[in-house]
Amino acid sequence: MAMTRSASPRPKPRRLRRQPLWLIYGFMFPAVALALIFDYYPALSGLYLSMTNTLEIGITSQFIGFSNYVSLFTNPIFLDSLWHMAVLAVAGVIIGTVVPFTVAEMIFHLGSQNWRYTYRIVFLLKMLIPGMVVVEVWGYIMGVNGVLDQVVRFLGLPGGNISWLIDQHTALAAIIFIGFPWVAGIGILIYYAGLVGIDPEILDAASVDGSRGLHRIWHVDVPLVSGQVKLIVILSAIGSFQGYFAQFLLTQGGPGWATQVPGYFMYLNAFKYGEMGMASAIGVFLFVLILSLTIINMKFIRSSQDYQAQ
Amino acid sequence: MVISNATAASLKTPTQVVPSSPRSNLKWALHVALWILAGLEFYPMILAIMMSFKSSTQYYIHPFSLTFPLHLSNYSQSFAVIWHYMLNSVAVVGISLIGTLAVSTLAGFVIGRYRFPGRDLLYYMLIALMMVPGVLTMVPMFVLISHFHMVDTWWGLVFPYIAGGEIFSIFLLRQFMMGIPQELFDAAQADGASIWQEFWHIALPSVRPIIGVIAVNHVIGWWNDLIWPSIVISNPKWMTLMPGLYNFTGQNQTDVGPLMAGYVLGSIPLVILFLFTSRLFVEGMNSGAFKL
Repeated sequence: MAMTRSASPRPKPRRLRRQPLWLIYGFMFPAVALALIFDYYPALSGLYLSMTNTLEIGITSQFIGFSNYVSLFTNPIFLDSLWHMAVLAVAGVIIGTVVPFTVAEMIFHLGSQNWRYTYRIVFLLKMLIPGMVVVEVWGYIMGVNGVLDQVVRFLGLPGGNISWLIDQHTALAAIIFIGFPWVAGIGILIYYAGLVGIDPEILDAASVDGSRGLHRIWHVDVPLVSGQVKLIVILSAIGSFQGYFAQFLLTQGGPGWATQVPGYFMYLNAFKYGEMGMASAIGVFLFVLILSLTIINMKFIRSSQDYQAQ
Repeated sequence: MVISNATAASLKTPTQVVPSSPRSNLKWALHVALWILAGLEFYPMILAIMMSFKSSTQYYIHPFSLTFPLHLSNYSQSFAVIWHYMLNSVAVVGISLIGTLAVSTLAGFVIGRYRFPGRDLLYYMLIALMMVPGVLTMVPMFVLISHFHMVDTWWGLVFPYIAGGEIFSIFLLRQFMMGIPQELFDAAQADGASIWQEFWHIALPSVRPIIGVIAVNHVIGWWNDLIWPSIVISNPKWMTLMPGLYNFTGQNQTDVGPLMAGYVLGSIPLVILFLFTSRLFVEGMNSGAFKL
């Protein structure tokens, strides 16, 4: 193997002229120093903090081992928040996988390149709008007598006249509903690039076989973009595990703790309840959860790069 | 080609000519569906714009429809409050961007173009940080910047932004630095160029497109950041736009017009930026797909 490789007529990479090593390390220094101080140190001190009973900054604390983790997993609010996170993640994955694929197929089936480009730009534009603005406006849409109530009443459905985000039974569903119809985002780009990348000969063969319409989408397109599907499943799940924007802005985890999620519980413990150690333990827990997904994702990183297209 | 088309057309009997084929019907249906989806997707923005022109009486009677007269004064009222936050955001984003680009182009250049002991170790040490999510570092990062007395200063935003932003930037820049043709460097060295001159006159101009992509990506993220700056900064003097708008929200629960005007004003700068950088923006969003 090594023999054939060296025998191949590939040009040898020529080396640059030698430069003094201290200069080269000087080029590296700012990036490495910043990474050590502001990335590695917080990450490692987070692990340590999670095993202390630190309450507020500046107050002395003791090492207490895994006690924070034990209290977390016996805390009914935290356990409920795990369940809410799971519900939001399942919803996020389904929405994040299906909706962009559907829209990417719709765009792909337009003949004109100009229209295809226009629609992709239109849906991307939404990503410029500050998330805070979008979520706050959704708070108005779902308030008492809000737009959602009016639509519900207009359609003659039961359950109007409530504040969807404040009602115990609807709050979690309302958080999922924020952003409807959930089209905007990079999912469209990823799927679209996948569809464009399908070998035209395969599509020709499929149409010769009489496969068209939904049949073709299900039996030809879906299997061929399965790499993109996996990538988006992982990215959506990671996003759902970390996110607590709606809780931060609209529900504060309530009513009661009906919309509490670990991320927001961490925020509250750190900055409202004065429980820094406990908050760090939640952070570490989420890190382990996300890391395991990221490791799965690493398998797809190469493919996700292959899937990039303009 | 022309002939065969003409032949095909002449072979068609009138009954075979349908006014609109199913294929073009499908296209019309797709266009209609896509515009409806776009309308729903942007409905919150449309709603915010309509509400931004309302007096409180108009909001009380017709909260969600367009009402006349339009109260343009809502905009001047909220601009008077948030312009200061906008300037702060411009400053914080600007400093963070310059810092991120400076440290990551330097590192990306030597990692991509030189061999030196520990190069791969340092590179993987940096890249491994892509697997560390913000939720792990947020709380200890706050402890750290309190020790550095950076709470309530811009530095409490700038340093974490640079340290967070440099990782992915180095990852991208290294690849682009490696792709620069060796001949350019050979020629420069023949002329006796120093490492600085190679960096400044060859490497930087060659990677300019990807620098634009990185910049657009970071600007969007930092401009729209809410939670971290709202933790770090409580003094309105130093507050950036999103936490500023968040405070403004708390003070204007009853007066929705100026509040929505503030939201619209806060969204405009990025839209203007997009008009000048749409290509970079699309590429940036594409590359952002594999950033966690």
